[in-house]
Amino acid sequence: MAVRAQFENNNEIGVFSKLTNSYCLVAIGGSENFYSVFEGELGDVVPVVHTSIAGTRIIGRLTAGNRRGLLVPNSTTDQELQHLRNSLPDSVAIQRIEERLSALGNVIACNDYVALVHPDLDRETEEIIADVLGVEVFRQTIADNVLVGSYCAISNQGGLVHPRTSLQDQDELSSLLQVPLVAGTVNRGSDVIGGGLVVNDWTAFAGLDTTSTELSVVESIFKLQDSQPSAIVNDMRDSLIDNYS
Amino acid sequence: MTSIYNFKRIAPVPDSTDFLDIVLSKTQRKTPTVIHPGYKITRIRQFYMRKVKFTQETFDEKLRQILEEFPVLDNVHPFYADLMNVLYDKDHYKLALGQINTAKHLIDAVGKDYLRLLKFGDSLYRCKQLKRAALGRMATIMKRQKDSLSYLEQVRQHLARLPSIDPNTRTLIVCGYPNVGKSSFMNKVTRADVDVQPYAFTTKSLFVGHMDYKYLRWQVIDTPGILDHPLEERNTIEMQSITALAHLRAAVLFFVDLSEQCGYSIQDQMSLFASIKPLFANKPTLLVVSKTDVCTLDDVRPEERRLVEAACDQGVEMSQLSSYLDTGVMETRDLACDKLLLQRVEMKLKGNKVNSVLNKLNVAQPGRRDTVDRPACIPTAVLEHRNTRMETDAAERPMLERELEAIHGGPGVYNVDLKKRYMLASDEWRHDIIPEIMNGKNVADFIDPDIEEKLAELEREEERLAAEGLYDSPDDSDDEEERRIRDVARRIRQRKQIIASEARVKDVNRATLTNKQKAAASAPEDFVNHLQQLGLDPETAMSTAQRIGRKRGRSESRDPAVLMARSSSVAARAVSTQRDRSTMGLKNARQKSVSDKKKLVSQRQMNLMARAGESDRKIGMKMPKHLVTGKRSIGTNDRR
Repeated sequence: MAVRAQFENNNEIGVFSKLTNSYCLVAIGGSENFYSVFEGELGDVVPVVHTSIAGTRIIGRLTAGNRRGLLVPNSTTDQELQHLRNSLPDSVAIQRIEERLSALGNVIACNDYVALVHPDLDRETEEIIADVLGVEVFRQTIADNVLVGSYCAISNQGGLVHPRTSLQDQDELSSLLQVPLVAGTVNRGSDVIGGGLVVNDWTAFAGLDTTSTELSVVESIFKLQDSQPSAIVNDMRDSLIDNYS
Repeated sequence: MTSIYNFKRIAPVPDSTDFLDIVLSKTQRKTPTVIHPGYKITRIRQFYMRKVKFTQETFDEKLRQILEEFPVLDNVHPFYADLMNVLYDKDHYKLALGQINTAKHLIDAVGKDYLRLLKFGDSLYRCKQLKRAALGRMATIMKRQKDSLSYLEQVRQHLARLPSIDPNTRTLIVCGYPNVGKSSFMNKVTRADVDVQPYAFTTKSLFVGHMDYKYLRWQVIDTPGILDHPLEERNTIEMQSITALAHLRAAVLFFVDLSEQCGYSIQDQMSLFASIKPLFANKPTLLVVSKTDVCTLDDVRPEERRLVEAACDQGVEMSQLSSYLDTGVMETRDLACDKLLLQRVEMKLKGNKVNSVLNKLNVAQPGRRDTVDRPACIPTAVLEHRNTRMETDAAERPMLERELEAIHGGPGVYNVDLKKRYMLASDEWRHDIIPEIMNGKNVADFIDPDIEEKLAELEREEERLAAEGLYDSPDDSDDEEERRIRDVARRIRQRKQIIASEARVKDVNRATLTNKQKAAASAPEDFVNHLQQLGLDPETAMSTAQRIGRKRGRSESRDPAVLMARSSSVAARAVSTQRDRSTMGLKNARQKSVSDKKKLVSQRQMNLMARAGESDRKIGMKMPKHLVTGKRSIGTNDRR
């Protein structure tokens, strides 16, 4: 099920939220509207947690995580860390990382098995990612962008990457991640996929500007609601060609 | 890709009298208004020249704005160009704009002429008459544009109300005889609320509606009905339909009413179809049989049926619908959309632009790189929920945070409880307050209960490593060369420190001595020190300096007391020195001592009583009334 949402008139909801298979973090905003979009979809399945990181609301860009763990930057305060420890189940390991590239959400893209990371990340950070999140770590770029977390969204079932990713890159990334990949956009043509889309294995949330074409691509590639990636090639081909070219 | 023409932004065109008022009052407002015959003639000329020039420029600017804002027929999409030709008559439109352009040039010429004449104006009166003449002629030219301006204003108003049709997007055009159900279909498939009435020519202009199909936005154009007669005889209403059919690359839905309720026979309708068929070339076309609730294809006479079926060749498909019963409407729409989409995609695949979107159509499937299974992790609750979602109703589910917020005073008032969902061993602990600092230590540092043990462990390991000599630096090779370098380096560092500290002392912001003054001020010891630092013997240098530097008197035997007396009394004053004023006006030292004694005696009484003497500073009156009272320009001055 893919849902459109907006954080205080901002479509970049991936900046203000972090969604995984075992928890969801949401920024503390002026009203509860944004939180309730997530709460309504996920509330009875996984914890949906209000939090700030280092006093900011851009939690989606500062943190990285999956079902097994959550990585937060070293600017996270002790109180925020304690709040997260109390709110998340014990099965989720929380680790504060000393890393120069502190926007972990921008430099790490991961599902429960594989992580793509910024090529300049520390070796130690790489090891911590592998240990805490329990993933294989690959240093990669997406369409020549080093901010892998910003330009793609991946789940265990599929992935959406930057619209200018070449076919070879797509194939390479797909075999690293072991999920089907497609290039696309969100938020009416925005290439910052990670900013406009948060996704887990059964739900996706996209910015309010996302068109129905974009949303149906998202539903197909992430296999939400019994749709299959093959739909992109078969049913939606004509619409996509007519829309994009 | 979208190319929407927006004619709504054209500024209103004032009629000729308003135009004059606008321009002349602007001139009056924006140029100086006071002039006297006594002024210099150059100033008078300049005053009137400025008025003429300003008026001419204002006219020019306003007319240019009109010329730039109205669309040029050759530059807009042919559909709009033709539509405007039909609605406003191309010749008339061009003529009106042309006349405005001519008027602009004429006014510019008048302005130029009169400026030239004004240069020779020899009195205020003459100059004023010339100005009047210039403005009058400009006004006459503008008055002659009355018709053009009012025509352009009408065109502007009409243009602003045209539907915004995007000529390049996916479009369905609905056409046919009047009263065959075109607008009813339009109302069914889109949310456009087109007027439907049981008489012909209800729709008198183009209407646009939008709908979604296959994740795409589609534009549906409802056209006025067309009758079957030659092109020349068609009226403006019909011509709008023809224009849309001719210029838009769209799917055409030709509506036929077999029941003949519309008042036109099937033969007439089919002959219209045949006559406008050239317009459907290269367009997906559908022959739509409407009002099937009244009459279907099976109900008509065989020869008429043959007529209808004969039309369905060369890609023209037939579809039946009843807007009244809502049957076949969506099927017709889907059929038309599919045909158009197919055609557009085929067209686009021929171009090279499609290469840039290939990656958006390609789903990269992973090749297996190992034997690890990576299943999706969907909680069972979600899977169960999916099946039962429909049944759960709003009352059962727990209240959302948004609803709680609304109950408790809305955003900004409601304070969300962040601790509500804490997962702790006991729910009672949720709202416990934990100190951040305890005994001078950060509590968060001791979250790990074994932290001290681990630290001790680390330290032990460190000690062991140190003992094993992991951190010992390799033995330093102590050869001669290295020591010398170290020594030099040490001295360089010292010297640098000295220079830096000297510079710090020297750099204070104050007057410094010149080199000459410095030399005069320096003592012989500085010289000796300097030489010693350089490692030289100061002895000889000192003796030489003393020998040269000593002043030689005329006689070695002169009494120093005599010299002193002379220098104090007789020596000419080379510099202005301060003299002792206490002795001034007194004859000698005895007189001075007497006067000092008298002064002390006279002050004794005052000193005893601790009173101020006449030499003490005294302010007689703190605020003299005449200086601080009275009216000022800003209110009173009552500040006491």
